[in-house]
Amino acid sequence: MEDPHIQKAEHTLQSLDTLKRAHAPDFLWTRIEARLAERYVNPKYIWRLAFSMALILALNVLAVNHTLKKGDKQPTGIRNGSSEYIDDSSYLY
Amino acid sequence: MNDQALIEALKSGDRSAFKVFYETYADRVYNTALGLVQNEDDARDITQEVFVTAFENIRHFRQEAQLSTWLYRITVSQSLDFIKAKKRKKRGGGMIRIFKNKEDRSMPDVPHFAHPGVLLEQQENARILFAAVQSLPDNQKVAFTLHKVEGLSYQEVADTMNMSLSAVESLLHRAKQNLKKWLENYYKNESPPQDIT
Repeated sequence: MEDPHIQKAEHTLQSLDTLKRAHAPDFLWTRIEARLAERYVNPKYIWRLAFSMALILALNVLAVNHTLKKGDKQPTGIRNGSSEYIDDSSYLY
Repeated sequence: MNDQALIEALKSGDRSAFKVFYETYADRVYNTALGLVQNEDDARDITQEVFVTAFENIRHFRQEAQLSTWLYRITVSQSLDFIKAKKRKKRGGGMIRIFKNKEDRSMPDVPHFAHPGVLLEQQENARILFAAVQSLPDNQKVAFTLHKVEGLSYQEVADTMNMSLSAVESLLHRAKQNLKKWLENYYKNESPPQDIT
């Protein structure tokens, strides 16, 4: 007669024969999506992003130019882009 | 959507294809990771990592293997890395074990992992078998899990492990022999040997 321990071991070895695949929990996709959103930029959005950045840069350049042209009309004290304060308060007297 | 169309869509960065990809393969990845790490929380974390890694590397996928095989490879590699990291962490707690009394150390070290896909009447035996699987060397553990837990054919296991069919056959034969030895010892002494290598 076969050793009962061997029989038991063989029986245990077959315990996974009827195993069914475990299901991944539903919330995992939400977690993965959040992780991807942190890292991933869709290539088709890269052009939009580049265009937006170029537009912002162009607007900045225009704004700076405009400010520099208006420089002569700046109020007393900050004329010609000088950081030095010019005391021009004689008109008060 | 077939695999080829899915790969193309994934490579072009189509976000809706990502969801299809996930829905098609999530259970396979999760079940494989669960079989290897034997812990549901850890298997969830690994599944998450596997998909993020896959999404990030799909551009480099050369289609030399099937999409599922590629994904199984990532899963196996991340699961084994996880097990190694966990073992390293455990080794840090070795001093605690030294100070455990003799009685505690002689208790059988069978973890309480119950795979959700095991039939109720098989749960106790499956729990003991999963404990035995943990003692196998990595390659035998992977082959056994892919074949018995995930239900892959010998050829699919061979493709995933990048081995020949005969090498996988012999690996699985050795795994079963080692498991049988471990289980016989377990039932004889009710105290399993620590490792089979």
